[in-house]
Amino acid sequence: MYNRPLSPHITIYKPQASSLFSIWHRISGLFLTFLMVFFLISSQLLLFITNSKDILNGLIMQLEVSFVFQFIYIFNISIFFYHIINGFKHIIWDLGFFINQKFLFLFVLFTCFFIFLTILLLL
Amino acid sequence: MFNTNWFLLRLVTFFILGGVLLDLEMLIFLIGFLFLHVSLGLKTILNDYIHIKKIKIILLILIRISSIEISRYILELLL
Repeated sequence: MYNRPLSPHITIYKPQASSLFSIWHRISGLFLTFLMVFFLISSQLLLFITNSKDILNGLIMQLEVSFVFQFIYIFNISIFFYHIINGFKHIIWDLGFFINQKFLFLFVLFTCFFIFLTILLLL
Repeated sequence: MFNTNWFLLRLVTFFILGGVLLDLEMLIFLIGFLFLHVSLGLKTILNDYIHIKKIKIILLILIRISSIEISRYILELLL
């Protein structure tokens, strides 16, 4: 198996942009996995609960209008796009290009701007 | 560092991204790639953070079983 070096005490470091973005990448990946499983099980449950198509339609329409559903939808889409953009950064850094401070700064600005734009467009 | 798992984990993402951005029906066609990405990522996280060997092997087997089960679940839902 892999035997990567791991820092013994992660709490003694100051929070840096690169390390924080890497940690959030893993957390968002786990979150997206759980989200996918939850979505599949809940959609299957909705299909089994309703015995006619009209009830299912009404339930889905009520869900789409509600504030909680809208909030969860926008939150998840923004997390998904964060995972995509940060994954691109990881691929670029794995290939060995742009490992410097200026690219990191521009990348952080771009990520924040893009996620802000996504939230604004979906509202 | 450079092995098949490393390469697949990054290669598959381009197909998933194309599926999401161009057409969601393509994502349904490529859903196996998504599960490959999920299971490889979960295995990497497990290998990094869990160092007791017995627990690690048990959890790796559980991840494999659950990823197969979830893909079966999607097929059941769509068919």
